[in-house]
Amino acid sequence: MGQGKKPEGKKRVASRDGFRREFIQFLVLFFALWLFSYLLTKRYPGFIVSAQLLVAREVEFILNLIGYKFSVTGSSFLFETAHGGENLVVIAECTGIYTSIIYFSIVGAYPARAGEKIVGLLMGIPSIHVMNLARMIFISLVLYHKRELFDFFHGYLWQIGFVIFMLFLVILWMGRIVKGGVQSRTPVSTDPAED
Amino acid sequence: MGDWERIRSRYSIGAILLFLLRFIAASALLYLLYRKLGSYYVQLLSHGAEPLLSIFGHSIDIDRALLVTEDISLNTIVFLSLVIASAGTPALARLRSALSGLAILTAANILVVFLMFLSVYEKSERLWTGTEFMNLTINFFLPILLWFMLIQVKSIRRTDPS
Repeated sequence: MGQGKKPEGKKRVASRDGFRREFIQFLVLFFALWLFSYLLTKRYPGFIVSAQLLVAREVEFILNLIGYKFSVTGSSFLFETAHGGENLVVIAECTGIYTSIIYFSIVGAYPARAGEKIVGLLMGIPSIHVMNLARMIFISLVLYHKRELFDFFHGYLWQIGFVIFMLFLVILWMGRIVKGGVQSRTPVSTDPAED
Repeated sequence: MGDWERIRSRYSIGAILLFLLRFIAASALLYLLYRKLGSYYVQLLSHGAEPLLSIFGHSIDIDRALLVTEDISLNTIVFLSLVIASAGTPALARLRSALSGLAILTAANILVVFLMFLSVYEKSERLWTGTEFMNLTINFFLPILLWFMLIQVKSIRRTDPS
C-alpha cells in the first residue's frame, strides 16, 4: 500500500476484475434460480392456486374482523359497497409469489454465507407476504370507500411499491446482516505488492 | 475494501430511510405525471412493436396493445425514481444514467409487447410462458439491476479513493 503507483493501479484493476467476475456469477446464478423457480410454478400450478386461496382467506379474515360486508367464492370477492357491488379477484400476481421468488433468487445468488442467506430469507419472505396482505386490504378498502382512486393505488402499490419494498429488504439484509468477507475466499488479486 | 463491501458500507439505517423517502416522493410525482401523460409512452411502445410484428406477417391491434402496455410500462417510473433518489451522484451522471436506462427499458418493453402479440397470434403456450417470465423480470428486476449498474457501481468507481 502506498509503495508505488504501478502496483496500486494493478491491485485496483485486479479488484475490479474480481468484482466483475463475482457480479457476472451473481447474475448467472440469479437467473438460474429465478428461471428454475418460475418453471416450477408453471409445472405445479396448484401451488399458485393454493397461494391465491391463502391470500383470499387472509383478506377475508381481516375484512370480517373489521366488519366489512362481502361474499367470497374461491379467490373472488364481491364487495357490498355504498355505490354497489365491486369485484376483486386475487390472481397470481396478487399473491406476492413472484416478488418472493425474485427476492429468494437475489439472496441465493449474492456472495454471502449460508447462515446469512437463511436469515435473509426468514426475514424477507414473511415480510413480503405481510406487505402484500396489507396492500390487498388497503386496495379493498379503497374499493369500498374511494372507487375512483382504485386504479391509482392498485398500479402504484402493485409494481412500484413492491419493487421498492423488495429493494429495501435486500439493502437492509446486505447492509445489516451480511458481514462480508465471503468474496475474499476467492482471491481477486495475485499482485505480490499486496503482501 | 472490495466493491461489494464499499456498496454495503453505504447503507446505514438512516441512509436507507432517507433513500426510501426520496424514492416515495419521486415515484409518487412521476406516477401522477404518468397518469396524465403516460398514454404517449404507451403509444410509443405499441407503435414500436408494430414493425417487429410485421416481420412475422402480423399487424398490431392498437386498442388491445394500449391496454396491455399500460400494465407493463411502470418499470420506467421505478427506475427513474431510483435514479432521482440516489443522492450523492452528480446531476449530469444521473441524467446520463437515466437516459441510458430509459432507452434499455423502453426497448425491453417493446420486445415484451411484440412477444405477447406474437404468442397470441402463433397460439404458442411456450412463447407465452417465456414472455411472462421476461415481463416479470423486466418489471421486478431490470429497474433494480440498471440502477445498480448505472448508478451504484459507477458511483463507487468515481469515489474510489485509491
